[in-house]
Amino acid sequence: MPDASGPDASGPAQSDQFAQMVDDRASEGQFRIDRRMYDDEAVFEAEMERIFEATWMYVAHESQIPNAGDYIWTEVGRQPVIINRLDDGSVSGVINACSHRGALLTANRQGNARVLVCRYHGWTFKSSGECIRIKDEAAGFPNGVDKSCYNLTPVPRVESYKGFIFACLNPDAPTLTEHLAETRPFIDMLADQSPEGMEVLPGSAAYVVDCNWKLQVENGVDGYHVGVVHRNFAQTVRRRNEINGASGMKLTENARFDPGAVETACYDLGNGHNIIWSDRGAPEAAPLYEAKDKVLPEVGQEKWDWMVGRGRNLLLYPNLFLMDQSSTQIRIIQPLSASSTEVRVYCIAPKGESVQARTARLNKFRDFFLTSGLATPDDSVALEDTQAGVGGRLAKWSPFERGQATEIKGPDAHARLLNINPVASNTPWDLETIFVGQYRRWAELMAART
Amino acid sequence: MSLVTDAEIRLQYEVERLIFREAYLLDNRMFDDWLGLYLEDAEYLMPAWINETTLATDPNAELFLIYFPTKAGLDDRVYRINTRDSYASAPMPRSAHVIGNVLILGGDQDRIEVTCSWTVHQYADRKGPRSHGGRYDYVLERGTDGLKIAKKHITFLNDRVDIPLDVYNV
Repeated sequence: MPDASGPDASGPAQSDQFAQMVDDRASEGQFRIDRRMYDDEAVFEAEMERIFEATWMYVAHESQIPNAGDYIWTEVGRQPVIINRLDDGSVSGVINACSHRGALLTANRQGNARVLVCRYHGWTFKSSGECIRIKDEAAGFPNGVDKSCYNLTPVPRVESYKGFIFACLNPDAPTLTEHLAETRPFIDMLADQSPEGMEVLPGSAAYVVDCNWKLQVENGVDGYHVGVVHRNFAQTVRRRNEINGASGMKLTENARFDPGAVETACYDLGNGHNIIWSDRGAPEAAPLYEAKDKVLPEVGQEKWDWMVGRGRNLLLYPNLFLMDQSSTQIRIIQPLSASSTEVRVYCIAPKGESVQARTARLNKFRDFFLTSGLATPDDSVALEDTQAGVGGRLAKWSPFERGQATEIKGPDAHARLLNINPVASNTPWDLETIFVGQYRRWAELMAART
Repeated sequence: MSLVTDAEIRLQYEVERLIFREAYLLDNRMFDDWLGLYLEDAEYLMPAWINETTLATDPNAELFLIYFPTKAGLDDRVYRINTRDSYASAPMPRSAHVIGNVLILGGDQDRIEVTCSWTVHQYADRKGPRSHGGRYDYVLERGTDGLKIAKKHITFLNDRVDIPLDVYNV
């Protein structure tokens, strides 16, 4: 664990206070967190600085910026950034703020701009950030000016893994590869679904939930709520399947909603990352199933069985989910304040899939993954109720202790088949092993000097 | 502009009566009656925004917030609400639709294209009041028992929303 004794922006006393919010006595059977971490603005500010602006953050998928000049404006922590493709084909990033007065440099959330022209005073920059024009330069600087002093501020590090672009504002952070730890084989299970690559489908949806970001981050890998909160989803799609006599991709697979019906497990993948998975009761319902002849020879039987035979919720700590369930989703958790969080969602799909598979994928995406669907609204309101409840100061602690007796250090048999090496494994998927990993990572990052 | 004919006034009234009735039935949670306003093969669409100015147009290639190719999708929604087991829908928020600018754009007596503007005022105990709105584009068709909804296309102005959306509050 990094040394927390030295001075930092918020002072060592506050770091100690954060450390005490995770009561980690797992060896004595106790692991609990102080619920103030869900609604304290001082904690939130420190999280932005020490987590979101200090580690690798997902910013975009390469398919969203295929051509030179294509850009996306997004946020890393609280910082507005432009992620763009340069003329040499590489992906880069600058802080989205003019070097002159700080105005945003893009009118739109995404677009194409070979040069960035500030709409306030007209200063102009190459997409790499190099300042190439200062309006009325000769009049303002009769003795000349070195425009290179006014380049845009670069995002210190921007790197891709298998099409997923990550940015890091901290030049001293470990490499992206180190950061991703044991998540890479699971990212591959999504990224390798088409020899032609994956694409983010047009259209995004965003919803704001009045809860702390960590409640969203727990919820995306919380197998425990599935049979409760989503019981009515399962009931609704089961009825629909029966009415339609649905088979193949028309079927909405729902075995995971019945405890014990299929095999499930969860893995702590290190650095706060984790995954929960469940066997699909009907793999042929997965939109990828049609690609068997194309993909199986590329990836081999064992990986194919993982890809199409198991639904997977993968968390890349702190705020990215790659979901491969009835449909496939990129879910980005963007904190707005201690008690408000924006969730941005995209459908990601294999390039070149059939119209039938694409249609089924989008149908199932709308059903489950949108705040206008049959499931996500129930999560959102449950999380808002939780946020309201954690404000009750006399009820201070949330326990994460279910599953300690059955936890395996290292991989289980399924992970071993693919030479994946989790920190810890547990079955079924709804045990709380993975949250221990999340909150240990939280404590580690929050204790670090920035 | 040419003079308004009696037939136009009658059609305008008939169209408005149907559209206002839909809002009334939704706000009063009379879902079975509401389903009765739709043809069996009615299409129901609410696209996502592709960017600041463009709505998705192809529900089988782009993201839609809601898309039902037939009335069965509406029936699913009513079934789910009636389970009383949906966290988001129990208790249900209160809502009031306000519809205006009802304009017949084309068609004939038996197949009518209509556009109008809508807002929904909503109140949920934990969230307080919320308002949102947009445009409805309808295709209405005349059958043996009067006008029915053959297609409803909802333009939802937000691309970010802080309340769950369902058939009763859009």
